Amino acid sequence: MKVHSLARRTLFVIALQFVCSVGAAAPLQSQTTWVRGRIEWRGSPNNYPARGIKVGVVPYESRNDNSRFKITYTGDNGIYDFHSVSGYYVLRVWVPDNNPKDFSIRVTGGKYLNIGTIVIP
Amino acid sequence: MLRDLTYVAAVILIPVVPAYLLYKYLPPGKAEVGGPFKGLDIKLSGAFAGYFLVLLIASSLLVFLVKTTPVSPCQPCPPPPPNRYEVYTVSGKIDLRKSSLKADSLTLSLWPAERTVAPDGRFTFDIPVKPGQGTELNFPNMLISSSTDDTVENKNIPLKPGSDPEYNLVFDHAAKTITIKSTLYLERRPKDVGESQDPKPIPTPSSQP
Repeated sequence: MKVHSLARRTLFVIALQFVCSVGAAAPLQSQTTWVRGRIEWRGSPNNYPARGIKVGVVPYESRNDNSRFKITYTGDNGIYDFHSVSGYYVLRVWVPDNNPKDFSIRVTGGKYLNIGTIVIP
Repeated sequence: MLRDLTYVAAVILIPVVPAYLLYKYLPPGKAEVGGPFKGLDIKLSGAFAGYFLVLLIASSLLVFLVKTTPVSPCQPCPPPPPNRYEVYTVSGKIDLRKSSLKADSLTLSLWPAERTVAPDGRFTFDIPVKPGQGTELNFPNMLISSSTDDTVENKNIPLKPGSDPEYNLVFDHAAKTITIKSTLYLERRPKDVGESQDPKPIPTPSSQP
């Protein structure tokens, strides 16, 4: 009887550990990351913020589908923000409008991600 | 129409007065008017000749006045409906050479500012909406950003129908209003936190060797 009871307790603890580990991992997979970047115009002697620039982000596998882009614009400080779940993305900067520049970024699932400054010539 | 008839009546009747005066008070004589006129061979005499001459002078004067008077599309023009405004296009040029500034470093603002946020966070402003392709209208995006605090999120809200349901935009196309039903929250992020990453340029097909 004691052995039976011990086995049941062991099984219960193992199951509990499994459930807890799954439960702990689940929020990480769906957490959105606040991605922030900055765009500047190349200036002399210093660069200056590029305001009102159209910036879009799309999952890498959908990079050829223009309708899937999530669009935002840079503020007066040249900063753009968006929120995304982890994954590989294409970041598109519409400068000039008819010949945008694409960059690849990887959102890793942390709370914040800073994208290096993009300087437009 | 009535105004045009009035003009015609005035042109025909008013010259009768000076013609009558000329006929009555000038020494009697044989007044004659003759010659080609607008494809007709005119031969008039007496009082009617005097009237015809005055009529010609009055008509020429009237045509001159009509041609030189600026045309108003409506008289009087009805006032614009309340709660509406008229759209003017402003254009000009800034000389950048002396200041050695680049055009993209400048912003233009209006005063009084047409877009401000009240102390309680409420805002109301008018936007011009241009027609786009077909019957669609080209609604702009609204970007909320702080000019004093870089740690506050920049939030972009497309103001077109069917856009992000997160903001719950309600359009009244009859009243020309857009109501953002959802309260907008601006997150703040601590400075110098989070992973950093350099974006890798993706070459375009034309730039590839």
